[in-house]
Amino acid sequence: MMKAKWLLALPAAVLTCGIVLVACGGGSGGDSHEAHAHNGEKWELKASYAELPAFLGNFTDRTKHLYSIVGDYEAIMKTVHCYCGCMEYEDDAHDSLYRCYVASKSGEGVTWTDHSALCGMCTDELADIEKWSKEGKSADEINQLIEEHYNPNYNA
Amino acid sequence: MKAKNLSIFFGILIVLIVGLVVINNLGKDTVYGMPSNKLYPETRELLKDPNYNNIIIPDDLDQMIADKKSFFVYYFSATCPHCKWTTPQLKPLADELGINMHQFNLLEFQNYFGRMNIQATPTLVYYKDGVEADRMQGGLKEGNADGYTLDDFREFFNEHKPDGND
Repeated sequence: MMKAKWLLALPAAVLTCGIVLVACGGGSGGDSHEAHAHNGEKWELKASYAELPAFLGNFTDRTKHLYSIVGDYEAIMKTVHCYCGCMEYEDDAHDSLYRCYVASKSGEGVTWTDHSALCGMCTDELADIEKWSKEGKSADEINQLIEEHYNPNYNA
Repeated sequence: MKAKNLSIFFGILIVLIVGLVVINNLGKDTVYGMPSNKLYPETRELLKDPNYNNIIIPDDLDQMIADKKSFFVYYFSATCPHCKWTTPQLKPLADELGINMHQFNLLEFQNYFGRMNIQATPTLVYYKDGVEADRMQGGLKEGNADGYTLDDFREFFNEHKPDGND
């Protein structure tokens, strides 16, 4: 009798292990994008503007360059609207183009977001800001130009 | 008698395990070549959208390039608002013109931004004999903002279609 019990215990254990393994195998994929709690954005904290986020490794040199100049254009970027649609998000809407590159900045450092890396409008706007700034345009002029080129509801 | 009971027990055990493995695999292989629980939520939302029914994955794209095919690829991101504005107008146009417009979701395969030199989403690229020949970077014009018109896309399709539409 004792022997029979042991004989049953072995398959029972195998079955349990099997169920656990199979269940885990099916469920483990759910966390593969665990960093995406913020409207699909990936955030990365770095000490300063000089330290670019690791996620840029996937992107083009143009995108890397644009992230590298955010510190230089911080002031104007905070006044410029982004017209990609992010300012109309229901949750955590962006308040300016700056937010498309930087989720937050504090004593701890800069929390980069990959939003702009995946957003053509956001990169085009900053590329134009850089271009117009180098042409010597003022902040007001740049704001005006952004409105003319990117605001779908712009009325000349 | 005991041996018979045991064989029944093991029989049931095997059926259960095989059954579980089958059930587990049912969730696999969306058009992205992986189960939907591995996709971004924004991508999952597009799975049943007919405007995104011609998805191409990296392996197939690489193969088409290696095979020197001539074809159109629309690079988009499932999160990009401008793509969401452009695709529902561009996809019906491609269908109307008989264009096999492959759709590559860069959100899922982000290293292809750098690899295919995609600077902004959306970007429409034409490959001739496996080599990039032309591209339109940016989406459809929205209101008074800058951007392409639907006729610009129509022209692009019509210009390249005779060279191949694999």
